[in-house]
Amino acid sequence: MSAKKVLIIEDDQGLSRTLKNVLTVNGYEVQIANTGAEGIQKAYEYSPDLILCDINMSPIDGYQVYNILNDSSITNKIPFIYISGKSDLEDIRLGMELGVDDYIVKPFSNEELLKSIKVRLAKYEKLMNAGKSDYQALVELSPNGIFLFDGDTIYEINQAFSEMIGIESNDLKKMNLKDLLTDSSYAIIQSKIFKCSNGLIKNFDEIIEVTTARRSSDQFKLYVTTSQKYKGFTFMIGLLAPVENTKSKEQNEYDRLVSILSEEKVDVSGELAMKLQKAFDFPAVQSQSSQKLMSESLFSKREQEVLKLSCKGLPIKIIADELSISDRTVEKHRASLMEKTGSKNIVEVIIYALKNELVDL
Amino acid sequence: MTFNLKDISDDKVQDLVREAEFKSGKQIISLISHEMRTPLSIISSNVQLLKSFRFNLDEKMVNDTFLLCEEAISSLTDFIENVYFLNTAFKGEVKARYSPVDLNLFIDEVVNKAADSEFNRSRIKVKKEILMDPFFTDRILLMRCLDNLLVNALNFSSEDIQLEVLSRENELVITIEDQGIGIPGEEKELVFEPFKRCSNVKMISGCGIGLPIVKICVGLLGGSIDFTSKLNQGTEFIIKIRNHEC
Repeated sequence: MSAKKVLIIEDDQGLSRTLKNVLTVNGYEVQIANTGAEGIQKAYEYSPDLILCDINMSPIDGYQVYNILNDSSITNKIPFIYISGKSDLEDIRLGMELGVDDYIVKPFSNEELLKSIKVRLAKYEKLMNAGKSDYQALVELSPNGIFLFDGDTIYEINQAFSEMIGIESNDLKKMNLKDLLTDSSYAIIQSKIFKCSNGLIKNFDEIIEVTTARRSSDQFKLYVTTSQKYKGFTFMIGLLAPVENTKSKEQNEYDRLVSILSEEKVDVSGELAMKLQKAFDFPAVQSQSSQKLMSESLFSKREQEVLKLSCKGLPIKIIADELSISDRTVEKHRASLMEKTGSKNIVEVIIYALKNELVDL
Repeated sequence: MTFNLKDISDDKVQDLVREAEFKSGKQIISLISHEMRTPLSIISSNVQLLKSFRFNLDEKMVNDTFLLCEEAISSLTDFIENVYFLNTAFKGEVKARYSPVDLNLFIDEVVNKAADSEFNRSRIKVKKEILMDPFFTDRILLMRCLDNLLVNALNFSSEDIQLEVLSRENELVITIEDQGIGIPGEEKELVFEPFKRCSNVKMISGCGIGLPIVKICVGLLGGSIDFTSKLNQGTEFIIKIRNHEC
């Protein structure tokens, strides 16, 4: 394990050198900042594992240093320990209220100082690891493919990604994104990836075709977002999801019905299946004109008129008057409609008609 | 003429006076203890280091440890001496003792004492126009005076410091100029009051005894002190001291 890095922000050079010596002989790597401003700068550049900071400094004091570092997501998790001559309870309380991790009063025992540093570092590491393992579990459990790449080379992938593509994870890690996509798909996303890696856009999504091992190409939806910059490289996170279901509403309803029936131990086959399919009327994606065509081919003109008026909820007598035919004739047409749609009564006929949009209301 | 509140025979005023005295006394003690903590920490921490490793450290580290202790001890000693001096001077127990001083050597000595490091030594730019004849003054008081002014200039500025020494037949004029944080206009009256600190130096260590000591020394040497200061631009102190041969 590499040495832990400690940043000392202290304007008294005698004390900062002393602290540096004490920490160095105990195996820490130490950087010194002589002012608050230098301290803030070094906290970013040096990314220490822990900061020891004096309070009485000018023009930027220890409280300000803490507040500034606490505002940035890069530095706000670094354990922060105050070292100060102020032993007043009020000052200790102020420091703790700000949220610093510990407070050491001058003069201190080296042992006490080292112990405090050790405890804070261990706590910090535990926190970081806990966060990391939760995150790792989330990535692994995701049903979508997740991968980390720098625009070209793939560095990390989860299990789902490897399963979707159908290539072993170890082999995938050596591959470039380009190798996985069809040429036309890669051409579409290439410029977007370039924009992402240069910070012009933060994220994008696109339907892409992946050349998988099983079939020549599969469609997926790819979401890409920038992750972090590291030594001039921009890492991006990609999420690969199956293309959303394009099945029609009717087919979904039919599928649901079949699954409900099968739960009720009703086997959907033979005549029942025929009836259901007819009821839901596949192919379901129908245009306005095809609906009309269907109702015209299925029903006679009179039947259609009766159906339309029945759907408006009119009783037989009114329908008969409207169409200038006898009540009996209306009843005959209704019976025919019931027969053709396999309904037991006129209500079922109306439901059938509405479901299949056979009438304009 | 000073107006003494204690002369008023009113119990309430007396109580207020006692409270104020107690508070300022408490404040002084807090300032002094705070001032001593940093050097004490350095000594304590370095001694612990030597003890825990039984000197089993590389030579450079051991040398550094001793050096740090010595520096801290000397800063503590200076501090205690200044507090002691202030106390005896207030009691009127300090008297100037005049003797001939070689100003050339003396100024070098002052600069070396005030600058605690090679870096600070290089920050003090000295300009001397000194007559050959020795100057009659109290070297210890003048040393204490200039030392405090130089240390202040070093502490409250990050730029170079100009030290100008001009000796004439019967007068010595010393100018110390820094480009530091300056003294706020409304607090100019307070700077020579012991244990009073300007609002803009609250976060710099110190306890407000430097300039009062300077003023006392100049007074005892039969001289005058004056200063001009602009906030965040710098301060210039001018000291004029009479030659005591004549």
